[in-house]
Parts: sequence; structure tokens; C-alpha cells
Amino acid sequence: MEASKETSILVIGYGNPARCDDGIGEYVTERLLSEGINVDILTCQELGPELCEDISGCGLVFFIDAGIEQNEAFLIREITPKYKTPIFSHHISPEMLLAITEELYNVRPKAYLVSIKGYNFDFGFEITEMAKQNSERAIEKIKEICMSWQSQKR
Amino acid sequence: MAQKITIQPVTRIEGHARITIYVNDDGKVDRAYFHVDQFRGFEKFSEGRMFYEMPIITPRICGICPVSHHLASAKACDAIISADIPRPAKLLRELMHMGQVIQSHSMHFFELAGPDLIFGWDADPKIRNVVGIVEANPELALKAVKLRKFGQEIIAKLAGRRIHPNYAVPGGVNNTLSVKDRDELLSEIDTMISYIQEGISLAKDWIEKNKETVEEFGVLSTGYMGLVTEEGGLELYDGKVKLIDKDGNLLELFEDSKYLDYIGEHVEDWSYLKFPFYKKLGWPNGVYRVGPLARLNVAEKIDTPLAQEEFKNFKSINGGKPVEGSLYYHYARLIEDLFAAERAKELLLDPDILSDDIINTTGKILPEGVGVIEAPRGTLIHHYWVDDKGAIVKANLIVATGHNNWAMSKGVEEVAKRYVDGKNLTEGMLNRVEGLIRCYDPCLSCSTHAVGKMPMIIDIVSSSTGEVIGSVKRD
Repeated sequence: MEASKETSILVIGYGNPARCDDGIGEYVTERLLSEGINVDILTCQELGPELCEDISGCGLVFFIDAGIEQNEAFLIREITPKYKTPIFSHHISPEMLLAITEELYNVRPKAYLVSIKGYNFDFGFEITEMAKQNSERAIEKIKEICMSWQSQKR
Repeated sequence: MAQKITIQPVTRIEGHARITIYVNDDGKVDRAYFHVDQFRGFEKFSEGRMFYEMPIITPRICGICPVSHHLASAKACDAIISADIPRPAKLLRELMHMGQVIQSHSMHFFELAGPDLIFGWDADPKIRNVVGIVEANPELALKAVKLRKFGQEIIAKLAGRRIHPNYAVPGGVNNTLSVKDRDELLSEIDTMISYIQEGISLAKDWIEKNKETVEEFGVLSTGYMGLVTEEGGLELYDGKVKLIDKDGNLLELFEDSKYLDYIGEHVEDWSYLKFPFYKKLGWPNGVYRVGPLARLNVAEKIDTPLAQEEFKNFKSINGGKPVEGSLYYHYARLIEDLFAAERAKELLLDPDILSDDIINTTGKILPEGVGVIEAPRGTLIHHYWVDDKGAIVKANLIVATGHNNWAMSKGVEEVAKRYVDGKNLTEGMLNRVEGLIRCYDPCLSCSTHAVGKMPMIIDIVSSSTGEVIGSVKRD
């Protein structure tokens, strides 16, 4: 049975898998799928406004990205809509995506940004072992939040 | 003391770039450069890979036009196996390409160029962005989102995913289009066409009200290059390469595989991006532009009715001669957007689009293959040399942004000289300089977007001491 809009969970993994650890987002979504977690998955190289429609159809959304300037294995924080001037043309921040979603669809799903520390961003499709270990720790936390969310919504 | 103003990176374009403006003691701009810092390593990265992997690998160059790389790569692979692809496969590839053009062109106008046009160059950066448009005109913004989503739906229905498709293969494509998917796309197409027409009205209205700016902003005399049909019409997927001079005279009309006979590449020590030029005129006389403005300048007609009507209006701007102002790229882009939607409709209505005759394999491996396509930003060339097993020994990729490299750098200088006052610097002045770059919608590299990477910084540096004497950050 499909989850209702209010209870459904969306995980968006983004980054470029051809730049090694920048592919952490996609790696995490694949790992979640392999564990049979009841979430919807989206992967993309960068966030674009067309994702607003997908985001508007869920109650909880995770944005999974690689992190560079952080010491922690992973950081997870709740984010809210925020208008920001985009640094690059075709990339929109998760906060801004939430803002556009709210403005266009009048919904504000609960949202988390998960940044997982990466180490190698050179050309290549390999995720470093350290980044994979960091990902596993992040996945456990994501699962914990999902379970808590789903139990609250029952 | 002379100053050097550095803008790094340019906002709202893809990749890693930098603008340096040298200002003399009077605050006047002496010269300016558009640098590309990011080294694109994909050509080297490709060596040793099997040629048939390239349509999967090369779309990773860019998250915004992966389909263009995918299809140019597949065309190069067709050439390596010496395969004439079945007509249905060609239609399906072209349909996918139209989806790419629709999503890319629509996004650019409504979300990237639109903020400058709607709010003005000097508007507060806090509102001069896509969210500003959403707040000011949510109906328009929703249409823009739907247009981009529609373009991506075309791609997803063919390839199973919106980003980084695995669809075109050497000799054809690997999946048919179902009647259900065809009908779903057809049910939306007329609405999408009407949305694009609204965008065109908006652009024309803006041009009319800002005629003076449009006629003086980033006006460059260059050649132009783009693919054309056999009859000289606008072509985005296939066709011959046409080069014209600044006055519109035909320079060359050649098969895409012969590009090395006509195009050379110049190198400057201040940019990693090469500068292609027309060999017979040499560097820098042989510089040319590509992309929407160039394609409409080289085309003699457009083969879809609504776009043809707009095309006539476009051609009247300079009495049939090439249109030179960089801001006209925005108008040309929307005319192409309209063409892409109309062409998608034609393709969907073609009975062959549902055929299962979608692949032609040969078993041959020729030593090299060239694939050329008109990506949203301009002519995209993939050229692979392979060994007898099919492993890549050398790859040459010329991306649209490379062809426009000279024009962007020269245009930055023109605009900086016209608008920038080094003694009374405003954000609006610098935004005009960035706005020139946005006309070309460059896609510079396979950049990463990891959290914490690359804040927006504008540095003002003394050229004589190297000291940073001013800095502006955008978050």
C-alpha cells in the first residue's frame, strides 16, 4: 500500500558519481534501497526546481550530499525554507528548494540535510572506504529518524 | 594605483569560473578576462575505456545537459561501428534531445536570465533570483517548473531516469516508446507550447522596453556556427555544420566528421578552456559564436510553424544580417524552445516513433568516430580514436562553452568598460558583467557541489601589489 502524502518519506541523494566521493548521495540511496527501507528515492547530480513537485508530495525529506569542510563523519541538521541567491546557475540549495516548494505548493515538509564527509573528489567512480564508513553511520541515523517519524504518524 | 577586480565564481552559471577586471587610477576599466579555472580531465579519464562505455561515462561531464553528451557520444560510437541507425531510433533520440532542449532552455530563461530581466540589473540580489520570481509571479514560476519537468519527463519516459540516461547505444537505442507514454506526453504538449509562448511575449516586451541596452550590451562582430538541415533550416540533432562570417556570408558547409579541417584551438595561459577558431581566417580573426543566437543566425528557416513566425521577427532585427547583441541570446533561446516543443509534437505523432526497429549492429570497429550535436548551449563535438579492440586511445571533446570562450571574455571586457566604474563600484555594475556571461548560459565543467564548497566572492585586488583591497561575499 502506498504511503499517504503526510507519512511518505523522500530521500534525495545528489552529487556527481564520476567525482569519487561526490557520489556519496547516490551511494547512500542505493544502500537504503538494498536494505528495503520504505522510502522513495531520487538521485540527481544537482538540485533543480523540478524537484519541488516531488518534495511537495512527501511529509519528510532527506537531502544527502558529500561534505568537504567538516571534521565530523557526518552532519545532520533539520533545515527550513530559506531564500538564498544561488552560487551556481543550475544548482539550488536544499533550503531554497524548500522555499520554492512552500511558495508554489503551499506545503512545508519536515526536512534534513545530511552531509557526509568525503575525501577524494578527483575523477573516478570509486567511493573511498572512509567515506563509505561515514555513510554507514549516517544511514543508521537516517533509519532511526525514519522509524521515529513513522511511529509518530501511525 | 591600478586595481584588479576579481569576481569568482560567476553566480548562476555552472562550474568554476572567474572574472578579472583591471582598473586604472581613474577608475576606468583597462581590460577584463573571463577565466576558466577548473581543469576538465574527462578526455584523459576516458582513455583505456571501451568506446561503447562512453555514452554512459560522458554525461557525467555535466548535470545540466547530460543528454547532449549522451547523444553526441552515441553518434560517435555509431560512426565507429559504421552503423546507419534505423529511422525509429533516430526519431527517439531526437525526441530525447528535444526534451533536453525544452528543460534546459526553459530553466535558463525563467530561472536564470529572468531575474535580471524582470527585476532589473540593479535590483537587490536577495530578490533578483528564482525565489524572487516565485514571489512576484508564482503562476509564471509554476509554469517554468512544469516546463522543465515536462522536458525531463520526455527523457525519463525514454531512458527510465531524468538524469544521466542509459538509452542511446552504438547503432540505435535500447528501448521502445509505449503508446501509453506517447499519449501522456502528447496530452501535455500543447499546454507546454502555450507556456513557452508566454515566455516569448515576456522577452519581446522586455526587449522593446530596453531597446537601447539590448542594442549596446555585449555587441560583438564574430562568425557563427551551427548545424543546419539539407534545406538550410534550424537543426539540433543532425545535419551539416554551417559557418558564416559576421556579415552573414557563407564560409563553410561541411560534414561534421571533417571538423578538424576547419576548426583549430588556440590556448591562452590565463584560462584552462581552449579557444576554438576557424582555421582559414586564423586566430583571432576566425573566432565565431555558437548556441541559440548563432544557430538562428546561420539558419534560413525553421521547419515548425509557430517558431518560424518568431524566426521571421528575429531575422528582421538586423535586416536579415546576423544579430550581434548578446542579450538577443535570450530571445533566440526561447524561439528554439518553441521549436523543440513543436518538433517533439511532430515526433510523437510520427507512427515510426512506436516501432521496435531500434537498433542496427554491425560488428565492425573503425579506428575513429565523430559525433556532433547541437547541445542547448551550442555545437558539441565528441571525437574518439580507438584500438582494434575498441578501447579509447584518444578523445577530443569540444563543448559549446569552448566555442564561445572568446566571445564571453571579449564580451565581459566590453560590458565592463561600458558599465564598471572602479571608483564607485556597485553590485549592479558587477551583475551586468555576470549578466553577459549568463547570455551564453555556459556550462564550464563537471563541478562538484559538495556542502561547504565554493562561496561566492568578489575580490578587488591591487594589480601592482597583489593586495586584496576589497571583497564582497554572497551566501
